Amino acid sequence: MFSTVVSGAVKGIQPYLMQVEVDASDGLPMFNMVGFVSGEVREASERVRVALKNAGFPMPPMRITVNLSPADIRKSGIAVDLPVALGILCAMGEINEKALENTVVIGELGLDGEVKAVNGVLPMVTYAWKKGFKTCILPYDNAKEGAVVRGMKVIGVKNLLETISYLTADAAERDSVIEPTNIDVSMMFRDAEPGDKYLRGMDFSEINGQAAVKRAVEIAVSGYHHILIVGPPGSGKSMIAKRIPGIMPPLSEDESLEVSSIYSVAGMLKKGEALVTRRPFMSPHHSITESALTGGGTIPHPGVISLAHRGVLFLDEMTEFKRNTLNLLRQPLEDREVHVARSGGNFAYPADMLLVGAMNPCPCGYYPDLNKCRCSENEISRYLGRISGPILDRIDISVEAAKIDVGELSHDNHCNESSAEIRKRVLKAMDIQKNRFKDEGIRFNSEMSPSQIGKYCRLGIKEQRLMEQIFNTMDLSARAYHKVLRVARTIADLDGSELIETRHITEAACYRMTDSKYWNKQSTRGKDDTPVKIIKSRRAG
Amino acid sequence: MAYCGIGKNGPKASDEVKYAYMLHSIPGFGNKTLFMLYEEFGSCSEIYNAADKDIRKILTAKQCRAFETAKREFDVEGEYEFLYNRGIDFYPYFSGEYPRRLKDIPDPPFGLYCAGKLPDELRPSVSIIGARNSSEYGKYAARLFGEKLALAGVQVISGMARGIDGIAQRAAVDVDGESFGILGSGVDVCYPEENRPLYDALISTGGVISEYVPGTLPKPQFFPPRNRIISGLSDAVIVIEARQKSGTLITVDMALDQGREVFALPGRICDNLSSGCNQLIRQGANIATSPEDVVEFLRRKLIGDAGVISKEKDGGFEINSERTAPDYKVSIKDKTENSATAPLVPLSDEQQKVYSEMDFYPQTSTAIYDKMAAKGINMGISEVMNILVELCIMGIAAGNGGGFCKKIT
Repeated sequence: MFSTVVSGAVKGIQPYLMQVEVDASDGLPMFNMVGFVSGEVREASERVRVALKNAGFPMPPMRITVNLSPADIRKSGIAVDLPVALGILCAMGEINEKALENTVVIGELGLDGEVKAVNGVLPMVTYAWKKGFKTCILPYDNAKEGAVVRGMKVIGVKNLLETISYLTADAAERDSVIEPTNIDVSMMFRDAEPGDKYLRGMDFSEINGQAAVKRAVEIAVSGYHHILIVGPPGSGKSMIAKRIPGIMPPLSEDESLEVSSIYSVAGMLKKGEALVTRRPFMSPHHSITESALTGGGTIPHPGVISLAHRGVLFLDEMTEFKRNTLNLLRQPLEDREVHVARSGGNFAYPADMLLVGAMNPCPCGYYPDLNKCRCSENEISRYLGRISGPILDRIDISVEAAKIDVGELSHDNHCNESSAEIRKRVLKAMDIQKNRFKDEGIRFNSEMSPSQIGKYCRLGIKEQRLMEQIFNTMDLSARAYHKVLRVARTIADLDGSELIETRHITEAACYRMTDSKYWNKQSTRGKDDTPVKIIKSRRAG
Repeated sequence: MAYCGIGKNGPKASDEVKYAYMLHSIPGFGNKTLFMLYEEFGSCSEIYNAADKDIRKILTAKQCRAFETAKREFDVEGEYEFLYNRGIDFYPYFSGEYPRRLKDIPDPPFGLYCAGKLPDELRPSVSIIGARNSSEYGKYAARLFGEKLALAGVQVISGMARGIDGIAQRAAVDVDGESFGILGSGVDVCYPEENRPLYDALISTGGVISEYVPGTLPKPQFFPPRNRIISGLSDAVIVIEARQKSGTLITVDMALDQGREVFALPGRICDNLSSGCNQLIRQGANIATSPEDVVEFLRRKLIGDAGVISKEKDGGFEINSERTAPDYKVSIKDKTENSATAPLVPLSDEQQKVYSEMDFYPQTSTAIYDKMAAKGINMGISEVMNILVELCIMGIAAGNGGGFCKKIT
């Protein structure tokens, strides 16, 4: 007897459907799995045999062959227990194959027949829906995740027996055996309005002082500019960073599906949680390895930058990260996705995040407070040198966090703006950008190419002169020019101003000073102290 | 130690200089050894030709081996010519050109290498020293003293380091004054590299001097000894900004040992960078409130040194001596305006409000904003930032390491 069950799996973050073909024929009793199957997937056979026996369906003494098709994709790190078990039952004639028509089966089995949750359900179900499948049999713990896909009939099963009784029931009575899981997605988003439930205890109103940093963060979020906060220890850099997701617009449904897919593949959706409804905030420790940051491994998994997709990637103590690790961010920051090539294949993970870096200005942390800092200029430049130029190039805003007085902390905080108020302005500025760029294929000011800058950042004569003055007097580098314009554009948008005015430019220039002053010092340092040098030629005649 | 009356430098330099150069460049031969040898044998050629057993009495076994090797491999004529052709002069202690001021100090260097020229013996020289990381105030003072002293014809001596040293020397060079950099490396090694333009300017208008063999790379242990040359070559030492227990104060100690006059720029008691200076003042150093103070001192000192004041004339002194006092261009009349408190440019109300919260020490825009808020001045953070940048453009403020501070021009 022969039967086919459809199942799903993911490769990278890309889902694919898989035919699980089972054939039971006469011959020496044995169980064979083929179809480019890796060792850990092959172990499914043992689980299936025991689970079937414990469910009261001992395997027939026949030659059973399971083929996972297509055979050109390596099946590695995936769960095929439930579809294989159902396929055998079909082949044995216990289940009518018709019952599994138009149905995708996903799940792992325990020896007692329990159906266990697997990773990557959301992308698989989404994909199956696109391919025309109408029903899904999923592990109970993944049911909500799958039910997010509108129209799909999702059956959450707890164990093998339950599954069998569902499939053997009459088509009309099935829904009374196991009720399909339903979930109201729009309801979830209503709950997830930021600023209320989950942001309680994480509001900007709790931050006293640091006016400049707060302002810079608002600009950064509005125009999606990556930002670097430089400041002494204890100045509240991390505190501010953690509150950034709260002033970003709420996740839209599409964005949420993207983010949830990644979390689903990474196995980071909480049990019973259907969707990620908040903007992610990832704050990896600086000891993070390269593949943990960008994703990778022999069985590739999404890295931290992908888990921060549509949210905030916060690198605290940015100078403490290994230089190589940081440099890996160069391409994702540019392309907003990361391409991981491994022997197992090439994978692209989305990585569209807002980079927020925080660091001390010098090894001791107190520069430029010369009363406290005794770091030599060499030490400082070595310290700053750990952040390479190409990374700095991608950071539009750098801002200095001030040292905090104790008096500042004891102030009442009801005069501080709340996250909700800041978000209102951010949303307004984002709307302006959406309108402006609707035909340009970009979303934010930070993404403007030089030609788009020329188009949307026209300067008047007065403003042009100011730019020149700023660049002459404040020794900004040439590459800072476009950044100042992009940031000035965002400031003008926040201001609701059509044109970029002088005050927008001066403020934008302010956010370049930190890095121009810190990092320009380095660039003047050459390395050619060759010992023998002709100071001046004296041999005149 | 007698003067040997060695002739001019150059390929025609006497053999003594060439042998001295050879001895000086032997690794492991320090000042002490060289002076011991010189005392024993009386001249460098004698040392070169001395019998083995006589040498062994003074040198250690290791030094003997180094000496043997050098004798075998060092081409006395050729190496000296090579040195000369690279634009470097060598002045051994006993040479006629060796700076007289250095001869007086304890532990004088056995030889000096110089690119450019040596300080003029007859003209006064002053060293301006201070911290590498300096405040705007320190930078201003370094510029002021460097420039005014150079204009008065004083030779400005310093270590060509980052911060105060370099700024003072730059200011002196910029007004066509003469300045001399004393290095902690060979004279052909520019350290720090960012002072390359200054290094080049010093060589063409003044000089770069070191006791280390050309090619020596800078090492931390080379810097304290070179400080004795800085103070030794000067008639007075001006300390612009120094913390307590800083390298600058080592130079001051050496200056005091050498009997040089010490001036310290007073600072606020709350500024760490001025704590060293204030401490010096408390211990009896001269207070440098203006370059004129120093010029006045030099005038008196030179007159005193010369021993003869013929008569007072037109409020100035007519000096009858081989060491003539320079023609001071800085008179009491055009005494430096202390423009530090009020900028000359007219400011708008808003600008004035922000400016008055600024300091010579850098502060972040937030700190300035908070100070204003504490006074009840209601101004948005972006407006404060705007004004700060405006002030920078006007040239009366500086964005320094992320913070902003007043700038004195």
